[in-house]
Amino acid sequence: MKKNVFCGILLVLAAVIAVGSFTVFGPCVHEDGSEAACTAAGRAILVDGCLITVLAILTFLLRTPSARIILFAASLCLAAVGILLPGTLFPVCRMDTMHCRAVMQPVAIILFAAAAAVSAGGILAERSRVRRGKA
Amino acid sequence: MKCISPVIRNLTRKPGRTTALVLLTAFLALSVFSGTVVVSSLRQGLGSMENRLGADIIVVPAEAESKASLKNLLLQGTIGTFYMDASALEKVRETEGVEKASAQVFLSSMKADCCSVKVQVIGFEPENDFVVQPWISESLNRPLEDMEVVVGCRVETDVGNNFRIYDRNCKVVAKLAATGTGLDTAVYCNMETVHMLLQAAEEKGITHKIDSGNDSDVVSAIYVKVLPGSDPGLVNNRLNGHVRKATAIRTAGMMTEVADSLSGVSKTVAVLIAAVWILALVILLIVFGMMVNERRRELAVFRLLGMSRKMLSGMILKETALCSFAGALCGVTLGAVLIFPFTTLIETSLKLPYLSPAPGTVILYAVFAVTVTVLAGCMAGTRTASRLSRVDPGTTLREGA
Amino acid sequence: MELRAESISRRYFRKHGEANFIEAVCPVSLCLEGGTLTVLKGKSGSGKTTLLNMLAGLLQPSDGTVFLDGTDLYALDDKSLSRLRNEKIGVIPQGRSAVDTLTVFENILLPGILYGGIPRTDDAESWMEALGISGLRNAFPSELSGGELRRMAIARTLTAEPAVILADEPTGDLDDENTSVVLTALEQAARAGKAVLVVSHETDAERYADRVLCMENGIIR
Repeated sequence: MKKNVFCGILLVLAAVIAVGSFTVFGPCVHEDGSEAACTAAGRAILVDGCLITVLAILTFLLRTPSARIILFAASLCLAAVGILLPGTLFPVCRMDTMHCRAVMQPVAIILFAAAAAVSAGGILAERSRVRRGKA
Repeated sequence: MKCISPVIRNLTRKPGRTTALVLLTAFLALSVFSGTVVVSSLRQGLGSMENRLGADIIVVPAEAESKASLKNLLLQGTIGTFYMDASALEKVRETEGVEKASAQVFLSSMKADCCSVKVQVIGFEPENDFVVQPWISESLNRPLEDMEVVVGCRVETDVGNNFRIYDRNCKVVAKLAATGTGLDTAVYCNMETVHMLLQAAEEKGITHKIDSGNDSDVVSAIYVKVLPGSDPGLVNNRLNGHVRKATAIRTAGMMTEVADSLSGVSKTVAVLIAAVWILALVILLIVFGMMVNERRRELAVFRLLGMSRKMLSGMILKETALCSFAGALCGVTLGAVLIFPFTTLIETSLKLPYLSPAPGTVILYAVFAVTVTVLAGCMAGTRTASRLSRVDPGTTLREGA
Repeated sequence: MELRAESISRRYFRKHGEANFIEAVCPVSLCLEGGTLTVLKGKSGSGKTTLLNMLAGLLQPSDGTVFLDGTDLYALDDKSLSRLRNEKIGVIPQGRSAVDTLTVFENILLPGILYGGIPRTDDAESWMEALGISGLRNAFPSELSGGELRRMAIARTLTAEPAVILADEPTGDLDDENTSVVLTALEQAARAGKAVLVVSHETDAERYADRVLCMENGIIR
């Protein structure tokens, strides 16, 4: 049960990022339907979220600690990149009051940071399992 | 005895119980910290708005939408464009009880360079103005020249950049400090500049005026300062009677409406905090009550080995204090994560002026939240500590032997 | 070293029944001297454990006094009595007496560090070796059998080197070999000058005793 806690939390976080990136905290939508400056950022967040979701599912399916460590490490890297997606790697709208600045950017950063922390926790937990197994 | 060692062990070896205590106290701290920050920010925003308004009365065009438009502009930065004849300014100045009057002209841009949306442009008379000028003087200590603009803190551009409106380049010469009101998203210029921009808009086929004619013949709002000793209510009535096709609004009334809304929000926050605390404290007491039975045997062993009642209660209280402190830190951190990155969202949702407190004040609120949470946790645990310290080791250890 | 009880008794009041109270221990006078091992035997319910708890300073007698080297135990405040018990009286209770959040080794060291003392790690390790639980050093009590827990409690008491050792059924969960080890250890403690009282059903225990007492219906015969 304990070993699946990090997998489960990571899966939930990644799923929330993926689904939320085109719903609750999606990019701005212009009245005329044209793309906003932040649309690319929104898509990048969606892709990153989906990739982390896949990795999280694989951590459930693969049982060996070494495989899980690799998957968590990959999730950690993707989550770290995710923190930089809105505003740094991809532009967002410039007005403070725009939806992407007020909602999408802070929510994405917080969720990716949480995913990174959970991935780091997963790595530590798997390494601890390996050490206890050897002892 | 170095009590910390069994204390830490007791916490780490019972992760379920420890997590429950930490979560409960985290909720306590989260509610206090978040509620305090939000209410304080609203109060600061209200004070800021009061400072920035500067005038006793604002005269706007007579249409019903104008008053609402002005309020939305001040509170949320919603673009407002309404106009009345410029002759209203002279009539206002002639009205008995008026000390000074200053006009502003509102204009909305198309999507400016800085932004994906329109911005509010506000033209004012630097020589007569007493509303915007004192505020601008904090950032710019010379008169504003033609085609120069001063921007609110939320307009995404920097001093020295060009600001393009209706294909006219204006130079950004200052950026204003935050007010927590809708004025943070506005762009300010002198009357000559705004009239040039009005003309530029017309050249692009965008008509702003209700009546056609000379662009210099319109104003959007007139800010009025009442003579000392005069009754603003009386002056307000005189203006309503004297100035045709215009409505005079007392800013005190507008502020009272905002203050009432703020008061409503504050009461709601207070009720929510009280509800969270009552619920969390009840659950804490239940958890501590369950601990009495669960830990009797363990603590009987400590008594058997020579730990005094005082030491035993001290050990339990230390555990409680540590859990409460850890929970309080988590709660305050979570509160900070939920509040500060979403300041803009909170402001636009509440539709009230919202100005975050200074970092030093935030730290004080955090310390306060942590302190009251630790105290509450310890008080809840005191009764349990007292009961557990009186455990009878002889009888307890014999049970289930 | 002398633990002396003078006419101690213990009454428990009850709501129902013929009498208002039952006398678990009738007035008993007893002296435990350093260097002796006393065995107290009797049927279940005869009052042995109640007597042991009163001698240990854990249960206030209804009447009578208990002196440890001239100090009236029950005249002391809780702080002083607790410290005295920690330093001079070692109790091996009948039931399970482990702190679940500490390892076996930490449990054994616990009495010595309660008041800031230096951990007696060497003594602890040698008693763990003697009692056959050195391999369980880093285990937690929840992982131990009843017999292992009993041996841990004995190791804890012997490591603390109290002047008085009061053991309530110390060999209850043990096989013959370990019973012999435990009783030998308690005998050695007595030879080293400690006052040892062993409450036991085991007839084997009498072989190690300097004195055997029998308790029946709260009276020592």
